[in-house]
Amino acid sequence: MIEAFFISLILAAIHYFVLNHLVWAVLILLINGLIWMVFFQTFKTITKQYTTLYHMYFLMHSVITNLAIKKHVHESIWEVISQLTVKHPHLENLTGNDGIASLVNFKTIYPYKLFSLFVASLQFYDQQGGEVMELFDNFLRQARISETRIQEEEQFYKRGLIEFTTLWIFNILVLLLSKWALRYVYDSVLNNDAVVLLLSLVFVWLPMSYVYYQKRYQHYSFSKEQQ
Amino acid sequence: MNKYWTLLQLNKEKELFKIVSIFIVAFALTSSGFFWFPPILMIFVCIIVMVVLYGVMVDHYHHRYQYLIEKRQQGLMYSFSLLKVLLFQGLTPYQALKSALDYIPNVLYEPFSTLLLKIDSDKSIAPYVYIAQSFQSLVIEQLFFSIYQLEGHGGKLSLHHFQYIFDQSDSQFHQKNIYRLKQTLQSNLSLALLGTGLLSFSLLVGIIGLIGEIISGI
Repeated sequence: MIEAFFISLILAAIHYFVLNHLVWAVLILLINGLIWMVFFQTFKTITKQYTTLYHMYFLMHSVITNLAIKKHVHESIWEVISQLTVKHPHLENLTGNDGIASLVNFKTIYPYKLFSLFVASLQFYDQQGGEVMELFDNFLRQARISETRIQEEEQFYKRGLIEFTTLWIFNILVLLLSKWALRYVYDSVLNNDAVVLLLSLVFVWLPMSYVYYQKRYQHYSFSKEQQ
Repeated sequence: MNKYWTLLQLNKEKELFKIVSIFIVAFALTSSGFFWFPPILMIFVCIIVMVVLYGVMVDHYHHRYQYLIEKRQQGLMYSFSLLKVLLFQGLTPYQALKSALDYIPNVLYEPFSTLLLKIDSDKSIAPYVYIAQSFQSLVIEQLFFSIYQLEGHGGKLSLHHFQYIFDQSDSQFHQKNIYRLKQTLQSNLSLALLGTGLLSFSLLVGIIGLIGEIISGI
């Protein structure tokens, strides 16, 4: 969690620069470190979820496209899986001799309803046969719609986070500028314990607001509906 | 509140205990003002605090219920998208509903199973209407009605008609979700603005304190 430590260190340094109080700065470093760790853990979970979904869509699109050309389930699956394992070697552990069985194993990394339906549809096609595009056309369409929506949601999340960070940067800038602009009275102002406490509260609220931001986002996010 | 406890399937004793505890703590904290302020004023304050607290609690349960309804609606739209895939794979509506049980969100397993059970004993539209009503959406009612129509008069044309209705409803639901997500992200900015407020307030406290010191020095 190097990112959490790095940001906490910067904030503790700013806190020390503004308030000139070492004990408070160390406390801020510790509290921030803990809260930022929670934030980055959630951030990684969210981004990993999006990446997994994109990989899943890629796998499904590629298998169906290959299937439409080759008309052979196992061959189509193998070609896509070998393509995937080049980029992601860890997937090799999940692949077996049988194409569909490998996809069944993939359910552990793609725990989504759409993927389960995809595997079931492939099994159905393997046993019963039929026209590929007639069977999978609607599936492909639905997968594309879901992918576009996930991309849209991810964009909202990242753009929102940038706007949020910009606001906080301005807040910190205001604090730094006020120390510079009010330098003659600043030291006298800091003699007031209430000011030190309130300003330190700002530095605790900062990481907490990020965690709360993510929590609210996750509450309304619709990507988890797919699980 | 009892209505919401039933709707949310909450343990009534547990919720009652929670609420009574909150009221006791709030009353204890508010009544500490009796030491400093006139009793009549404090009685008035206590009544206001209790009324506001009651309002906040009802609002909390109402939001939880709304959230549950919305999540169920979202889950249902997602389930319909899977159902549509199964229908286009040549399954009959009944078979598709049965197969969809393996893929639908857990929260919808019970309504779908109930629907299948009711269809087994009643082939009319009644089971579809009964289930659709629990989702509190006219769009969803229309979709269930379309599935019923498919059961009676299947075929490619009806299937495309269903697809058209589903796509329209799905897009409508998606717009609603996007709007809510946007609203949430917008309101999230107030978290940073709260920091701005706290920052300005702390500087103000410092400067006022300083002015006070100067005046008392004079």
